[in-house]
Amino acid sequence: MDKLIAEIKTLLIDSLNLEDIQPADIDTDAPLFVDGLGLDSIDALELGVALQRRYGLSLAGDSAETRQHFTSIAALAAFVTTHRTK
Amino acid sequence: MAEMHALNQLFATEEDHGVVTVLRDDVARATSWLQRQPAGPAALFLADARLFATWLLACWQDGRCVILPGDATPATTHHLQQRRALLLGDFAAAARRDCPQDGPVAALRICPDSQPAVEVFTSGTTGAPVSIVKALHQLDAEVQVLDKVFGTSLSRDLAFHSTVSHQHLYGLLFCILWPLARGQRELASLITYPEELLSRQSNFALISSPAFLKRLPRELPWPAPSHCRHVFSSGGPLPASATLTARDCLGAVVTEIYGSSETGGIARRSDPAADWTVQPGVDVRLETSGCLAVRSPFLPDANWFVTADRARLTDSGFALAGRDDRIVKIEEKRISLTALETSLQSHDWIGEARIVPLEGSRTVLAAVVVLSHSGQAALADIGKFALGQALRAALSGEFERIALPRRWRFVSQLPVNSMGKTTDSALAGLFAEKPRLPNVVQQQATATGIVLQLDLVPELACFAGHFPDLPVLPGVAQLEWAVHFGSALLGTPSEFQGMDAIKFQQIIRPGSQIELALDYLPTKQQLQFRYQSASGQHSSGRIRLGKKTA
Repeated sequence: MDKLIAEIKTLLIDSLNLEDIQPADIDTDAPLFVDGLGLDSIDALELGVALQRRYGLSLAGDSAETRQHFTSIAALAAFVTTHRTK
Repeated sequence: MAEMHALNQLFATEEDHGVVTVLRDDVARATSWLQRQPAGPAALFLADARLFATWLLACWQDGRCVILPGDATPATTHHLQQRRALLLGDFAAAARRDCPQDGPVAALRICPDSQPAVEVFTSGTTGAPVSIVKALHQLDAEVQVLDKVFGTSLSRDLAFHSTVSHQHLYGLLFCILWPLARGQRELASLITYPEELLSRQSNFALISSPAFLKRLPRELPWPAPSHCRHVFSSGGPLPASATLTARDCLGAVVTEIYGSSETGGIARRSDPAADWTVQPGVDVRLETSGCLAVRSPFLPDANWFVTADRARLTDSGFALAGRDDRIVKIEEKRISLTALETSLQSHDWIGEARIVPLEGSRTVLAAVVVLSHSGQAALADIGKFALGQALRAALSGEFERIALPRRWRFVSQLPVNSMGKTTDSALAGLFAEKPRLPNVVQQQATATGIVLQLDLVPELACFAGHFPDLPVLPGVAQLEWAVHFGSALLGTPSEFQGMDAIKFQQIIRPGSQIELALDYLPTKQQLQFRYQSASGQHSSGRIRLGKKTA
């Protein structure tokens, strides 16, 4: 799980071109949007595409449920673990 | 197919008119409830399309203008409360969200079409967002034109899916008002991710924007044949490549609508290489400033409205040629760079701030900042990333998140060009890949070679990490530069074959002015180099060169 969490942090930094930040600087349990890392709706879309490419996830279905998976790195890692197809 | 109804006469007859008929009783109860509330405007913020339409129509029945804020943040709510607006929908302090399920009903009427209907705001926050009031007849003129141009090819049973909010004019027209006027079975439903389109079993039209269409992943299992019948895009220019991708993935025509909250829809095109075709009833002309002016029934009166878009008139319409102000569009949001800079400069940590847009696969705003004394203390304390985040957070009360700078450079002074001006390109240069070569300040030919005055700007890539605490120019970079300038200025062979008598005598620091003397001995294919400055010789040696074998 720790390996996957580190991998998702790196994916997030790379896909959103974040500067001056290392994977270790990202708090696994902090919110990704607004209060925590401060990502925006376009970041959500781009991160969604990156996750879909890397892990073969599908973000179809209920938007509210999808939002739950994006609340933190920890939530994303749990989602990837159960839904990945590659 | 049902006929188009005018927006002020949706309830004039009781015949079946799709979703309008479904909403009739709710609207009658909501109107009655509104009649018992204090007079004044209503403010509506509601994600649910049916409930949104119910309140909108009820407010019109009650003669209230509906303010449509772009968000329901505490700052926005406070502003609306100061205006004594009746808050409806998803506000924390809403007077009401859901429609009354029982109680008295109001008789529904034909509304005067001069009645102020909605107040929208220019998308994105500028320092002072402009509010635009639209009368019912302006909105009606828009939906009638939409149906005239696009209606015949879209059946009334078609579902509308949308990736844009109905809190802004484009979404309001396409997602709510047009479906109501044409008596569709349903209003548009909101989708967030491209995958949600894959499982659609019935035909649909997609109301979207470049922010979404630019990010459609080709590799998704797009169904063929597609259920998508038409794609609309508005809010900003759609890159040609995105039009083609969307056309391939969705298997439908992609029509771009050009316009703004002030002007409504002005023109359309379904081919990114083509000029814009003006919508029926709209006149355009060019001002002497080169800016496009427009006159149409979507405007409050018959006067010409001058846009900030430069254009060129063509046989079939017009072509756009860039903006005339410091307003940029980031993901369809209009952002005033001046407003952002002003806000940043009011922060304690900031002495001076400039914002520059950086083009790329995603256009982002970048900030170049000269920190104040307390800002430098904060930088030392929390580091660059956290400092940028804290400044973003400070701006987020006033600007939409998408408008916030994503890249930061903290500098001791703003970069200036040779004329002493801080230009956008000088600012953008701070975000470019680091330079690999020093600036050549002066060059002078000699009998056997050339002498160069070099300015070793601290941004040079070779100073990074060599060494973190005491950056010095690495020997290998000195050799590389000698070979590069020999080849570029003296035409020497560029293949390094070996070196002799290399001496590194003094280190070279960032920011130094250094003289590089190059002499070439063609008979030996030997390039002699010598780096020196006021403090004496730094290094010297001979490099053996050869032709590159192809």
